[in-house]
Amino acid sequence: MKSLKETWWRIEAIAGNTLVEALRQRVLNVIFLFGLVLVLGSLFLTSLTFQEEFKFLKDLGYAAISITGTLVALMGAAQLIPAEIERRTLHTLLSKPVRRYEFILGKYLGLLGLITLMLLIMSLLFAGVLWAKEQLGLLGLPPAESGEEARQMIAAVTAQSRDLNLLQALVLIWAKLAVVTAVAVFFSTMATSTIFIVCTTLLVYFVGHLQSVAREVWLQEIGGSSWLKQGFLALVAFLIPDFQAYNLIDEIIAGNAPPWAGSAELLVYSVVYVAVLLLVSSLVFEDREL
Amino acid sequence: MKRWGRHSGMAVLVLLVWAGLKVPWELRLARERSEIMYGAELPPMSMELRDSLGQGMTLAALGGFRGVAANFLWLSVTTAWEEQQWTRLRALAEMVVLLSAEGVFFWENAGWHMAYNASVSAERFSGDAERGEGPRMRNVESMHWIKQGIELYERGIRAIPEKPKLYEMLALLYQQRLQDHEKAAHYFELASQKEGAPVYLERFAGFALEKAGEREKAYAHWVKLWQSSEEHGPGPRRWGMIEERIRKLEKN
Repeated sequence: MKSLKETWWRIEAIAGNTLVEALRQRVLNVIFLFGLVLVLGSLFLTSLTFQEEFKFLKDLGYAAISITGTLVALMGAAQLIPAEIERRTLHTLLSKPVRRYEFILGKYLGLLGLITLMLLIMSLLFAGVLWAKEQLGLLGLPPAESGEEARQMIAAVTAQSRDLNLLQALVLIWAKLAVVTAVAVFFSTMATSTIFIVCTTLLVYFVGHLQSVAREVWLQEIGGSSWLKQGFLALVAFLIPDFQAYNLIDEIIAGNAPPWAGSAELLVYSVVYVAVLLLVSSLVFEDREL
Repeated sequence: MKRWGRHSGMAVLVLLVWAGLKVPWELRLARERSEIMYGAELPPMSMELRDSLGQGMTLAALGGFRGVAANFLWLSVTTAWEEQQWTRLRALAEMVVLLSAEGVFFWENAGWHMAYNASVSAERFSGDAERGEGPRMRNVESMHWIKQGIELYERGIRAIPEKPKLYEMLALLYQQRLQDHEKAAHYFELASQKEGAPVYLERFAGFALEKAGEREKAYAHWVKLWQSSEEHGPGPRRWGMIEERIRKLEKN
């Protein structure tokens, strides 16, 4: 029990240090600033469109949050772990009673903490943007006291901006980013080049959105096509996460209300995926010559 | 050689075990997602769609930003509408609804462009009047676009069966473009049964039945509405109007 506590303290210390270090990174701050501008800018971009501005606003706002989070996850993981090896600070750290898996877990949790913090700030800003849009929308409507029709119109506007299901979409974005971060951490345990880590993680990210297609084709063509093609498709299906699963976010943004049970299962899938990736990362890192 | 040692072997083993578990799990998640998003199993993004989209749009769609890609494509739909390029509009609208099948807005407006804007434009301008083929061609072409609108609404209803809007739009299409009041009544009735449906839809179903000449069905509809509540005071359900319809039908 005591050793478990001590392990947790060490992980916590590394995570805290990673978070502070990441907050000082200029690249990550610039990406974050870019994200904030994108979220705010979505308020003005919507005036380009003809109708249903709320859908466009939500799509752009959530895309901004998602893109920023992905970039932070990529750059964060690609910079922070290789930098420790390059600067040889890792040697000092590992000469203390710190295990390699504790280092990996601490780094991951620190990065996840950073992503969670950024997600929260951007979500709050986006809530403000939605509120502003709602107020602008209500300006042109007759007051609620003027009749049932006015009340229905007001209700239609507020239903769009105060949709609690949007929280569900945020949770799913967070879960997806947690998996992307774990993928980036996995690659950073094998490589020291930032470009290599960013490129391979991005590759997994894009292939992950096509993984379900590869899986379907593989399952349909078992025994039917060349072994090379089947082997490749099976490899994609087995090794790459299914990022298409997170498309439920689109459903929520469109104003539909998918059951929370579906999102909860996706959350469990993400947690298990992250756990597997971190376990594999720790095992690979154990064998790595520093 | 420490680089690929015992731990790396264990890592491969963990990955293999996980691979065996994850594929069935992902299949189940994909099935559930398809049912929620499309009401039926559809491929996540067909090859034809990928061929039709530009590189940027494909990248956006593959990056998980299908909604954003659909929004920007919709701007082209609006341009095609302004330029009255109906065939282009139809092709673009198809891409948009495939990218974002969960959005009522796209189905609703794509169907409206077809059944109203494109078909009315065809009614006015298509066919070579000098060769005497004007009226015939105009009807054929107008009907073609109306059918496109019906098809879009029906597919939209299959994709989002729980929302009343597309049932209402289909009912209005049958009523206004085809004067088929019986079908209009059927879809108004279906729309009124959906959660969050505006209360006027239940009355629209009654009026459509009357227009269709279905007096008995209309009478039964109004009586059913009247009996659906014990409170008949002022309010959005407009009991006075319902009572008036019942009395009128009883008189005749």
